[in-house]
Amino acid sequence: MRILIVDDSSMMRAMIKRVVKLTKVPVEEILEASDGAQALTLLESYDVQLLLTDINMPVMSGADLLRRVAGNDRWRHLTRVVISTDGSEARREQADELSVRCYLQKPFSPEVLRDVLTDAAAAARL
Amino acid sequence: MSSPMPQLPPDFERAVGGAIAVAVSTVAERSFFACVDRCDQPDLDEIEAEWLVATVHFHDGPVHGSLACLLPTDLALWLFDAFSGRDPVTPMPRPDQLDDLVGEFANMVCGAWLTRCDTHRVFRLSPPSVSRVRRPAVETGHREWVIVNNRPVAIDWEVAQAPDYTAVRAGL
Amino acid sequence: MWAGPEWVRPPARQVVGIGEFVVSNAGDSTIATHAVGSCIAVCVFDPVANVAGMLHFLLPESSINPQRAFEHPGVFADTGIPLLFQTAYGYGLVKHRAIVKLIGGAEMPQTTKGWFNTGHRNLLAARNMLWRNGVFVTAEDVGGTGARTVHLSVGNGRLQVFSGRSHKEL
Repeated sequence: MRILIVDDSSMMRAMIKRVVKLTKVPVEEILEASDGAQALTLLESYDVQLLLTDINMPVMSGADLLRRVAGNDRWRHLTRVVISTDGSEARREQADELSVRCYLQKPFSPEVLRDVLTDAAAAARL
Repeated sequence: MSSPMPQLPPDFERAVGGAIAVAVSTVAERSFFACVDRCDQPDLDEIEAEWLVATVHFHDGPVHGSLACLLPTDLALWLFDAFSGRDPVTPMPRPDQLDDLVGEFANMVCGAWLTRCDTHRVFRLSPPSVSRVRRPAVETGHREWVIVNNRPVAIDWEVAQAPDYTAVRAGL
Repeated sequence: MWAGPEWVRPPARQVVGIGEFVVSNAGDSTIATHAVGSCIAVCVFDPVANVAGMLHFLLPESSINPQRAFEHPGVFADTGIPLLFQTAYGYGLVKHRAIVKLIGGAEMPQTTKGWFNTGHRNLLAARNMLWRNGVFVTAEDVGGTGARTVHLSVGNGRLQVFSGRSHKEL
């Protein structure tokens, strides 16, 4: 499975990557992007099964990224997870409409992220 | 800081301070395993470390304004290790990595507080900006002091109510 | 000395005191600790190697008393937890297989000085040490205001927590 982590904080990407490696899910490659535009470029170039994205990012937000993903049939099987400081009901509803599988609000413990990854990875492999 | 913010009700201002302390506690405990207590302003002369200042601006929600976290460098290093799980035998973080970590800390504190303020409306956060100072400047706006793992942290905040929002909870 | 029939012999029990730890691969034994109030009992089990260990630590950081930490490393989270794991590795425990559970961290009133939040600080310290060492917590029974007793079966990792009149498996 190939995973794409999208967050403008390199430290947050590193933390998520560490949890991915410690969680017992089979991962072929972990890709990283610091905004939605970079993420789109990677999605177009690589076969990604699981997308983990922040919302508030420069250049292109996670919300815009998810809208582009939802609007392209090529990515209809891409499992999507949001990891964001914004936990508002409006944002969660927006994510539901864009077929996000799980919405994880920051801050979170490593164990909570592990559980989200385990569930999302199982969905991604189906 | 930009032009002066409109006055908020005194009880709202007091409540915001408490709510921000709760947000710091939530972030520090959950993602950094650090203990937080409220405190009065410490004697800054006793703190020899350089301070990092991470500022986040927020808009499009029920309130707009800014939040800045000011913390001494030694605490920032501790938080870095706690968040990243850094092995002590590996090199110390670069300044840009430390700035990133402190910026993300401020980002999470701001987001945790704003989500509590109003769980219904979306807000937007600017990317954090981080600077370094010899010691925290004298406050001109609002400031809360907390102790994180026995080290002082100041949270400076400026808030204005959005014109179309008539009832704003403080985030309690 | 047990004088009954061999097939009803009770399992051996190793008791962990405050500031102590035990690691065992004796499949028919139990590791137990009592009076887990604001302390934390850190329990580890490797289901492949059948190795179990338990640490009962009292305080979060050894920097407050380095001499005591040198003499009794099990008293503190940051010295006791690494020592628990290092000892368990010697018995064959493999980190990525380890099932780790935390019990305790209650807020116990200090009769003369009030509440110190020690239980909460201990819990955060344990989580910090485990994360920094790349270990997830599988389950917890923490908080509250009462002391707990913990029994860990070495043969199968079964963990029982007793508190007052209640009992649960974790």
